[in-house]
Amino acid sequence: MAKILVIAGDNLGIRLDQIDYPDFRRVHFPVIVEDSEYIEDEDHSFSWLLAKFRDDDAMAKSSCLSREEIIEVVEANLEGCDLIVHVLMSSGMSAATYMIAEEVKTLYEERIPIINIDSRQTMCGVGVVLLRLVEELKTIHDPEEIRKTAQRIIENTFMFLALPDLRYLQRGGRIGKAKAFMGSVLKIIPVVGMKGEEVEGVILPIGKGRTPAQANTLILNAIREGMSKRGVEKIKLAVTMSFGDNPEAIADLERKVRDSLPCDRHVSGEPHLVEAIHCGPRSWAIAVSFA
Amino acid sequence: MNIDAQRVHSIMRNLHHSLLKQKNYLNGLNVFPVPDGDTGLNMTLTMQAALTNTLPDRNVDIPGETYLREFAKNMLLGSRGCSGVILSLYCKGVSEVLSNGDFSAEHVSEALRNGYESAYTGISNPTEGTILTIMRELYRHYDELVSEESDPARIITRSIPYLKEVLSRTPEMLPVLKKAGVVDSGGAGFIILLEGLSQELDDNHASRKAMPVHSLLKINNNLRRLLRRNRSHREIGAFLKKGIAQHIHLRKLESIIDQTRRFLNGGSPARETILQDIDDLNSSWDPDLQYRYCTELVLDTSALVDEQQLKTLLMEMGDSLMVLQDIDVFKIHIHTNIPDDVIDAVSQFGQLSFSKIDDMKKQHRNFISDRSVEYERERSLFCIVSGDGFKDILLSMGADDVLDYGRRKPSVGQLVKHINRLAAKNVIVAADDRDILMALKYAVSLSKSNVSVLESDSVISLIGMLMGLSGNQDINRTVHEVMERFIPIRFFAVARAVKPSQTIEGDVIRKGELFAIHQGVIVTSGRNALELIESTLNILREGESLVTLYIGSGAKKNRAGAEVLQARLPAVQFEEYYGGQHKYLYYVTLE
Repeated sequence: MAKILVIAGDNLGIRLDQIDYPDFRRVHFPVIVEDSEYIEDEDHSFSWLLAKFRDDDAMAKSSCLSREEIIEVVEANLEGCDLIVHVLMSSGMSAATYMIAEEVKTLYEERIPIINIDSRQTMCGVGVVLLRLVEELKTIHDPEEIRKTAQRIIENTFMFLALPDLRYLQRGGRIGKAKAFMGSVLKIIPVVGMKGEEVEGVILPIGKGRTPAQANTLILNAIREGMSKRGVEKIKLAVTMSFGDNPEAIADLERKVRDSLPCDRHVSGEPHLVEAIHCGPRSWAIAVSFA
Repeated sequence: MNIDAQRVHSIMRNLHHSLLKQKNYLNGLNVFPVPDGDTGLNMTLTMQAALTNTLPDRNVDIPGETYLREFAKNMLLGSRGCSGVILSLYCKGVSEVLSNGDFSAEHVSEALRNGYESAYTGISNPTEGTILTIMRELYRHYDELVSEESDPARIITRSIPYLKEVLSRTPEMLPVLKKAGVVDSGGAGFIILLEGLSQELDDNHASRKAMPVHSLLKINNNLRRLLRRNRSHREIGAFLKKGIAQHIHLRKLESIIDQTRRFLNGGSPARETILQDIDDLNSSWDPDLQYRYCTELVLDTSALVDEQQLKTLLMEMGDSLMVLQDIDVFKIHIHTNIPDDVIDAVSQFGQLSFSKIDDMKKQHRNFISDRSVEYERERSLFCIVSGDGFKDILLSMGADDVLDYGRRKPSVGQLVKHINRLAAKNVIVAADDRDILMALKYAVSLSKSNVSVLESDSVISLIGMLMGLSGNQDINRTVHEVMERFIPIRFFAVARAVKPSQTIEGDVIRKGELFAIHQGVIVTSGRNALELIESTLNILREGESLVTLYIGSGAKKNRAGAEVLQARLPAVQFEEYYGGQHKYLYYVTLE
């Protein structure tokens, strides 16, 4: 039985205990808040950062994954390991992280094969790709087969994010094409998304709601569009997450999905420190993957 | 020679600028394959699409050849019209050879040859006397000069005079050009790009001036009238002196004028010969179009299809067929009378990520009409509303253009004028009042653009339409988004009675009193606007959490209505915006 180590960053939108795979290791995205660097721990969680935003109007940004930490994880697990699979956030959003992962791959090419997987996603979108992939790794061990399977999962994964305040996405430099939603006279809740079918892997504008219920209707319709385009009738896996302060919004979305879309598995995820930078308070998200 | 992505991007931006300056000149030459006057626009939009989608990252060093490959790919996906597709195929061929980063003169020679071959083999009916001829002559002439020069840019610069000479001979190669009295528009555009590349064109370089085609045809027809009616030599002579301006770029017309002058001086040819030439010129600019719709699609598929499979499928459906492949992405261009069938046939293989259908007949009519519109952009989402506040709101929600018609609904003539003024090839239009629809539909038939009318009955439904709009989509997907993702918003309006009336419950409304109307039914009445809104909300609210007041031009300003109502109904969130509408004092929405 081959041993395959799976690595991913800590921007997955899910808790560690929700990843049913023994050989999984997490690496951290450093977060810079008012000139000091943090990585997620008990004292510095997403709710800590949201409080800093709310109380101190703090500015925060993220950095790419640390080469040293990835190397540390690889070194610690080399023995007995046959293959390493690194699931990465979209290279369209963090080219530097992807390049570092590629450098590590080259560094170890004589010692162990590493497959870097560009998920074309962020947050719970990466989480969904990871959860589906580790499930497949229980039966698939051939590197080429793993690549193909990952690609299939990626192309069928979508993430939608409702952002009551777009400034966080803008400040974090991730606004991309969603900047079309800036400057609205009416107070709106922009809905943006990442579609696995889009090679660029950037945030795309989807629509805007005036209320959380409207934003959720837009998300639901966008999921339905994706299902109908692919001719699928069921969601294989859905992960939802919310940045607190807005429990009704995520509850409404989960209820709507439950009531109207057949879904094999639903995971109620949890945001992390680095994810709070780009989303800000009162935002919520869902990622879905089709069979 | 090393060139980085920033440098290539900057060159491409300048080339786009060169084309943009000469756009109208190129449009005026466009007679093949269809005289729809959009070669300049199509080439410009093709470059623009690639520029927009290929932005070099300033923080990362990307080699120029990598950028060029990406640029060529985006050019292919964003290509417009025959000339745009051929240009993108050429760029793809060039970038393939240059992908190793070798920009030496010899290697560029190979790249130019590959560019030509890529364009030539990529289309189903390659024709001499077009842009393809210029592309071929470029690599041949370049090959002859490569032993004398080592700088590719210098060789290209030295090739330009020869290519211009070839361009001037295109009417001899393609009869339709000769009949219309022009050189090939795509070929002319290609030479403009080469001039830009060799930096012959700088910002001070003047645009080529060209008289609009309709003016030239007018001269032709006036001359025809004078000759037909056997007018005196003096009268015809006076017309030639007075009526002919400079910048005639139709050689055929120049020749007709020249012949007429000789005829007036007693020389040959005969009057009938000149009249025949005049008729030939007219017919070449106004042919019967066999296929009406220029249809372009981008298909994403991992199904096992190749270019030939799609070509075989579509061949019988029209002409000017081009199918280009970039791994799992296919770009399809065809002139057809059955665009829906083409879309259905292609859709069976995968997903369409882009579709565009241009009505060439309409474009052609516009092109040769007296009041032709120079299209400046691909599409406009145009809203017609009453209220300056709503104008701002809709623009910020994603409308491209908004007409605030104030108190008086626009006439057909005004609507035509406004639609034409948008200078957009395709327009999606929606109005805030059903009464405008009839005039709007008539105006659409008279306008110079392809127009889709979205039927709406209030400014609130326009807001609901724009909610699902993501922006940056092609025309068909925008219509789809607006229709399919429409979010219905419940609302009522508050107005002042201009004559006595009654509510649905039979309560009497005196002249001057206020009433609230919901779905055409008067629900409540009263003297105080905010109390009326509160009582109407109590009747109509079905668990909505947000109530928005859009204040009309006739409502009292600074009422802080939302604040007052918030205090009375704390379970609901209230917001207040200025709409500026004239018909109602308030629109009140429940969401």
